[in-house]
Amino acid sequence: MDVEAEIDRLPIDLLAHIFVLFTSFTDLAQASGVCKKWKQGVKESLARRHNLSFAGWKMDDDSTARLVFHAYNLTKLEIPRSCWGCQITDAGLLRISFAKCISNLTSISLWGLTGITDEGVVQLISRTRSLQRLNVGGTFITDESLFTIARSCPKLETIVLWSCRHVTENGLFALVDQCLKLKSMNVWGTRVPVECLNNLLIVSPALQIKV
Amino acid sequence: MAKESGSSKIEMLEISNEAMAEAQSSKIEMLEINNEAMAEAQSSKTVTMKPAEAEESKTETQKITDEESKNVPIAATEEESKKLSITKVEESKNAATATTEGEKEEAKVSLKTLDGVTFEVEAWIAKEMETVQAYIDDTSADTSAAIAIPLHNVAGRELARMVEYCKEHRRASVSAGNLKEFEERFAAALNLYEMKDLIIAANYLNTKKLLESLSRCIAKAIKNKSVEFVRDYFGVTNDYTTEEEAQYRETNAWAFRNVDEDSRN
Repeated sequence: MDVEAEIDRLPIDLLAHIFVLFTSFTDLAQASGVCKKWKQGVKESLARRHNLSFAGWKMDDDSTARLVFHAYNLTKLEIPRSCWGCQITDAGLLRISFAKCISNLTSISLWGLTGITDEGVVQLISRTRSLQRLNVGGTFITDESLFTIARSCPKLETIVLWSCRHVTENGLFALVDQCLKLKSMNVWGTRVPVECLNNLLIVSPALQIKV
Repeated sequence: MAKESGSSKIEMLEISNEAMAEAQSSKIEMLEINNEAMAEAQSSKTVTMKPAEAEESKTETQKITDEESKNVPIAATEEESKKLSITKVEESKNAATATTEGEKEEAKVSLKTLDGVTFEVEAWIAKEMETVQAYIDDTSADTSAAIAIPLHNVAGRELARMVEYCKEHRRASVSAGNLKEFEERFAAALNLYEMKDLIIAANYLNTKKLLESLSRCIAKAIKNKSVEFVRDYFGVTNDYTTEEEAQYRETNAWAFRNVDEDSRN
């Protein structure tokens, strides 16, 4: 084959432009296995992404952290539970919390990650600065996480605490008190009494509480 | 000095006479228009008015034109006024055609490829090529029109294809269906080497639509294909060692197993 005509003579930034169009991690993994230049192209394509969703993928701490580290322009990160069972732990969240993109994230979903606790969530959330939407539904977090969210996320607009059975009215009051932009809160399946929710509405009448 | 001043006075007089003649002819035209308008109004609606009322009902402009019409000499006949109006129309037409021709001339940009071929393309095509547009913006309008813009990284064959793409894309973009069909047809006509050269040219000239289209084509060719197939198809040499390849497969094993088809993008 004519050397000049080989596709691997494409510059890396152009390869990255092509790889950004991949929605499947399998395709990205295949491309990075073609040659070292293509591997670099895949890394650069991750750096150009603004959204990263691991929905439906059997992720572990190592692979998730590695990909998030490359994707330093992310604004939206989704690591929800997949049908194959969750393998993300607090150790994974701790590693992710050191990624460049964390301070710029506006949306995080940790929905259904039963392997995480306050320890990992506190580490991750305390490093965010721009968070507007947070989904921690179906996790075992407590008020400790909510206090950190209240302190670290002044721009928070929406929070999903669906079925977070360990949160109490103290955590919710801290959120409403400090997250002044909060518009919507999903507390379906929590053990917070209705009177408490009414009191929250007195503090913040514009707040939409979904039960 | 006296002679000079005398001659200049004569010139001024001639100019003023010409100006008066023009003014008078325009007055005649205005009068004709007013008369026609009045005739139309009378035919459509007959209203009986006393002379005093009629005088009052006249607008100020009508009064002025009436006053002026008293001073107009009868020498300017209807035929002459018609001739004048015809020549004016012709002059305005000529002026209009001259401006459009001027615009057409302006709307061309010369591009010189690395193999020495010079292309004259429409300005809107040059605008599609953001690198060329930036060059035009940076240099003055005069120089960009006179000098062919050098494209050091683009061959004539690629530029010809890009110009063709821009023109066809514009025609096809009337409907979304046509556009998709055209893009598929355009990509199908290219072999792998041509596609590679064209995407590099599109990247260099920053022709966004073409770049996106070709990127989609290449991405489509790679999707759901094995590493071996991709290497073979694109003629890429594997520069991984056996150990590196084994490590890569181990590291990325998660991407190949237990894919949840329902929620996979």
